[in-house]
Amino acid sequence: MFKRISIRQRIVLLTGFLVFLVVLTSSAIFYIGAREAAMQVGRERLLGLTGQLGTMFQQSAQTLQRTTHNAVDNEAIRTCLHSMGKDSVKESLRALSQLGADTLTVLVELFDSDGKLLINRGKLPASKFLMDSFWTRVPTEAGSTAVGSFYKAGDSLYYPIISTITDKEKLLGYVIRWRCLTATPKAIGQLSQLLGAGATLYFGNREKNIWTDMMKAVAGPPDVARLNQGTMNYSRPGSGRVLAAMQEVPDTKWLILVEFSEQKILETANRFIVWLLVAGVILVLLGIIVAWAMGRKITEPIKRLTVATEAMADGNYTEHVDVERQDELGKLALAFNKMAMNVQEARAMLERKVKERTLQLETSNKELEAFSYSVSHDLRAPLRIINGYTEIMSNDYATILGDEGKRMLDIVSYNAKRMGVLIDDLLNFSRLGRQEMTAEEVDMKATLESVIIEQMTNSRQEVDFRIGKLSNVKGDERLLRQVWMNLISNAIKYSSTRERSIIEVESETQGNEIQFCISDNGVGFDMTYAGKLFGVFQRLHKATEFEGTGIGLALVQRIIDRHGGRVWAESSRGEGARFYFSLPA
Amino acid sequence: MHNNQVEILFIEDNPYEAELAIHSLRKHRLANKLMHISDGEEALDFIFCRGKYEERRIIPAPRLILLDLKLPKIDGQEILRQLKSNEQTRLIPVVVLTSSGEEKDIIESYKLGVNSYIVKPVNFDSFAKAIVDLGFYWVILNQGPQQ
Repeated sequence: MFKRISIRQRIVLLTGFLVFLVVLTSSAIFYIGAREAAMQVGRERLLGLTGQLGTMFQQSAQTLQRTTHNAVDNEAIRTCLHSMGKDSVKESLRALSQLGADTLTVLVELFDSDGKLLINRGKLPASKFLMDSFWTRVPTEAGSTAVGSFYKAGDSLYYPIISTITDKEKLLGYVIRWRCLTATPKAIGQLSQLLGAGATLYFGNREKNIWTDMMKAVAGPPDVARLNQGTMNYSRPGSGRVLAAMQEVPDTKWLILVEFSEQKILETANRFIVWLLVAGVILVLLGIIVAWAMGRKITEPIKRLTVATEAMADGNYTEHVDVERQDELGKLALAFNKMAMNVQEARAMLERKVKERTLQLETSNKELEAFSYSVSHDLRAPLRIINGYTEIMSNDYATILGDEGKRMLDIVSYNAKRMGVLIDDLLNFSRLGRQEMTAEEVDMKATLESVIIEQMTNSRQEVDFRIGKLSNVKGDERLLRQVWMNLISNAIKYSSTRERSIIEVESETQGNEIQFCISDNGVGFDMTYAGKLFGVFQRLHKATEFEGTGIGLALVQRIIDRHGGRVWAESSRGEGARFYFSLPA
Repeated sequence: MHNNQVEILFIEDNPYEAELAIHSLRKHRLANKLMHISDGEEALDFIFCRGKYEERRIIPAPRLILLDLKLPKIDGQEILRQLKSNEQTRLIPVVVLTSSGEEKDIIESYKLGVNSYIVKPVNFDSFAKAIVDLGFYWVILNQGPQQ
């Protein structure tokens, strides 16, 4: 299938493929680069932001710690603690209320050093938060305030700000200020501005068991998330892949997690790749069009050359190709024209030569023909005269001659006649060898039958002809007729001694030749001398036995030779003869 | 031979051919008034009554001229042409008796107006018969123009 694509199409395909390859590769490289760059920028921004936020929340936490501590670091609280909640209750409550003024503070509690609740003020019952493990994590250093982890209650998250109350280095108790982890719309707005689009802030506990986006509880980052170790990539169910950074907020038990949507980061790069691909497709199409147009410049001359060459192959040598260019195709065209001219000249010269030769041959043949004709007549004249005089002598001077004289005269006459026959035979033999042969379909059976009729007219011999199925052959009808004539006349002649002559004729196809066989029941011949059979004027019988000049078979051989066949014979004395000749199929 | 009594003028250069032909004709009594001339020029002199034969009268003309084409010096065709282009001799029947059977000789002779063209048979018997047939036909059977 690949072989049937034209050159032009190949050029187009190649160009298209190359451009496509280039576009694909460069697009891939650019895209990967752009992605990398975007991710890098994202990473840096993420880390920076996370750090910023960490610091920001740290400061908030610190502020909360300070305010909380200031609010409760007074005598009333201490007195209350000393008295186990009996004294200065009202003043303490007031102090606690002060803290409660903050909208987000839902509960402020005062505990003694053993964890027993003394007083509280707030909107929620205290017991909701306290677990056994709580107290193990409470700071014990005097004068310190800490911000604790998040705790879930209902749908909200709360975190404690724990302030230790001490008196002269002795731990008296704790004030725990519970705040709700929500943000005001204003704060969220500000945060959003800080974060930017595509970024999300999550808060979580150090234990990583609670996470929130400040509006609802969310799933935490996957287990692979590492703390304070640069950025991570993972997939958040429902949001897709994210780039994230996790960090402790110093001075608190919190963790912040900032997630950047990867899609947002790569947005520009992705837009970029789309444009790149569009440009790429346009380039490929452009490349194909240009290749198509350029291809024409190459294939057109080739087509013209092909047409001219085909004309040449068909025998028309006069076509030539217009040459306008000097590159490889131009050179080819020039060479072609030159070649065509040479071939044309050579052919013209050959034709001339052939005509000359043919003329020469024809002339030569004609001369030979005229020569043999005149020779035959010039040779026969004296023979005629010899015969004439011997005739007259024989008739008019019979008495003077006597029997013996007459006999001798007869011999002279006979030989003169024979010479005439020899001359005729020789001339015939020569002429038939020089004649032009035609090649046509010859009906051998019909030819043979007509020859038999001719030979048997005026013959009193009893001959039984048995003719089988004879194939048709390609050859010269006249010459082949001569062959039949000679062979049949021989068969008749040499079987004339029999009471009843039987002559059989058959044909057989053997390989790529057709063989004919004429067999008679005559006297046959001695195979020892078979080599002489087809010689000119050669005979295997005495003239007294059978008349003849010995030219018949030589003629047969000559004719069959010219047809490209063979002749041969088999016989044994007294048992007839079989003559064969073959002709190409 | 009396000039006026020539019935057959036989123009043949080969004496043996001539003798054989005359022998055959004589056998059938056709050679009584036969004149044999073996030279072309002499034959023309005879026909046109000049030179050796200036005393001969053209009329009466021979009843048949047997002409061989292969003559030395003057060619048989030339003699034929002169015979057939002369008003006085045009009507004399001319039979070419020659050994040449070539087409061009035949055509040329007929173009010149020959009355008959015979190729000498190679076989003597046939030759003798042909000669006799000729004699009988042209001298006895054929009706020539009255002089």
